[in-house]
Amino acid sequence: MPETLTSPTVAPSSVGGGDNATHSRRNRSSRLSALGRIGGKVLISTIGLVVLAVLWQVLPSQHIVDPTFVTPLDQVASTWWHMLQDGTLWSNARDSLIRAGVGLGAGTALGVSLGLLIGANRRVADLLNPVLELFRNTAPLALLPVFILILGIGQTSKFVFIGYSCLFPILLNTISAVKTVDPLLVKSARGLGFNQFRIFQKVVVPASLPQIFTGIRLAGGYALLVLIAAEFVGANSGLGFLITNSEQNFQSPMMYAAIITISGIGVILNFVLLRIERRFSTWRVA
Amino acid sequence: MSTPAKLQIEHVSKEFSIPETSSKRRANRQLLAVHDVDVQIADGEFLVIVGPSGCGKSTLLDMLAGLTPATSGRILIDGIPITGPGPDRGIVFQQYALLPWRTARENVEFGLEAASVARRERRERASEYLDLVGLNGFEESYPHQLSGGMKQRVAIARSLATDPKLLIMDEPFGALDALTRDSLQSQLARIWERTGKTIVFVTHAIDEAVYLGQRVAVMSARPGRIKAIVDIPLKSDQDVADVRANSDFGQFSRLVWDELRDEITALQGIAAPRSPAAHQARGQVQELEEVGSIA
Repeated sequence: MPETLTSPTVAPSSVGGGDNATHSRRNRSSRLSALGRIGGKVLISTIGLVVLAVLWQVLPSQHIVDPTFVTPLDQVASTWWHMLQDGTLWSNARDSLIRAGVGLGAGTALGVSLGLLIGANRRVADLLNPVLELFRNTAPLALLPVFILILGIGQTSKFVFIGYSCLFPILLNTISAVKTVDPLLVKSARGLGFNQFRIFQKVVVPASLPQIFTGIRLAGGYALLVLIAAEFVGANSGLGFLITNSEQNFQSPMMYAAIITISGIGVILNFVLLRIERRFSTWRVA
Repeated sequence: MSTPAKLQIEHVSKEFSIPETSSKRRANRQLLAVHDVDVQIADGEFLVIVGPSGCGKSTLLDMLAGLTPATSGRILIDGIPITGPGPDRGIVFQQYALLPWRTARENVEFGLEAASVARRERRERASEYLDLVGLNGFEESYPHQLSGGMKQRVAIARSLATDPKLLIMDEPFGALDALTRDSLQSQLARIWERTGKTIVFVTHAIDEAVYLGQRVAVMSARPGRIKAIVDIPLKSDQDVADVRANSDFGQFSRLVWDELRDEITALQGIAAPRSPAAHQARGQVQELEEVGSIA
């Protein structure tokens, strides 16, 4: 977590190390100030959210903006609570999560294996690079109609489309990870007598994991992004469907409740993926 | 030589072809990196190779390791020609080459995995060799938690753990500060005495070469060949720790330096001082390393 610069003179108590008696008073005061600093940080980062919430409440309720289009926050909150209790939120969120999850899973499986193959094999790389370059520079959403034409508007087309969109960040990160493995580690493993396959398994893959997970985290964001778009176009369930459907039926509170839910899911997903990524990268600090 | 040679390097040359981009025809220029190196190394011998930067020392080591084949000539260990890399030779690199996601113990085990040693025995041998290099208590530390000297000790433990016939060291202490280097040199000397390994050690530093080596082979500037071999009869009659204090130490340093001087002059294009006094040897080493960083 990045440290704020509120009191640079006092080191955090954990860094001090030497816990002898003469330092105990200073330690206590530094601990207190550390507590104060964390409090201050929480306060500052909350302010932005509070201001947003207040504006969201006050502007429509004072009719500065039209409350028909921008529902005041309290109403959104009560609608959200209501939808949570009657199950609409859960059933739609579940459908969306299944689509995003299957898509991300498929994209990860294909992206990592293809990436390892391309990164390790020059000939495969030469063969696939031009194709990849073309598709990489085509916005996935531009291909959504194609996916719908070919695969229809059922689950399959959403799985495939989300999987396709997740593929590229994972694939590109995997290729670059494999290519940037420290050559000295490979040389050293060769010198020890490992064969190509075992070098790949014991050196190249573990060395690539942190960057592969960076790709997966990025893909998680992509998955939610294209998920909503896919559900806008052709779906009868899911949070994206809920958003457009509510909008078309002039149920703005429901629309906002669905939007808030998707933000929440996005934040949680990113947090979880970031945690996993850090776990795999602890050795990278050097 | 009375004892049969452990390592025979027989008329070994290495040529690289470098694609010539400037010429219109696709002609490859041949670059002779190592030229007719012929040395016999006895069992348990400590041979140090010194030479100016780019003289083919590393290429020679790569051939010993089996990482690259010789263009002509052959290399034999215990009379058997080297055809590729194997766990019978341990290599220590200047940049440690530790796997950063593995602990010190797991890094030592890595070498044993190549030799297909059973899991339990790997664990035992790893702690045994970490003990040997004085790293007990650091088994579960990751490389980024260790100092440069400690990392290199892990690397040494790793290459010794497979009980290789030959230990190949490519400027292993080149990236360390002077104090750490001194301490690792004496540790290595102690380890060598205790294990009786055959060691081929490459360095830039003359004092290091004279301190560690029983023989010091001086390589010429490209194409690299062995120009002279200086015997250093300092080890046999006394304790290794006192070698540096021996009055002959400076004399041997000067001998090696005199052999090297012309090669550096050739590389540098300016005249190096003639016959420097023994106490200046360290300064010359400094200069030698600067040449290396320019080249």
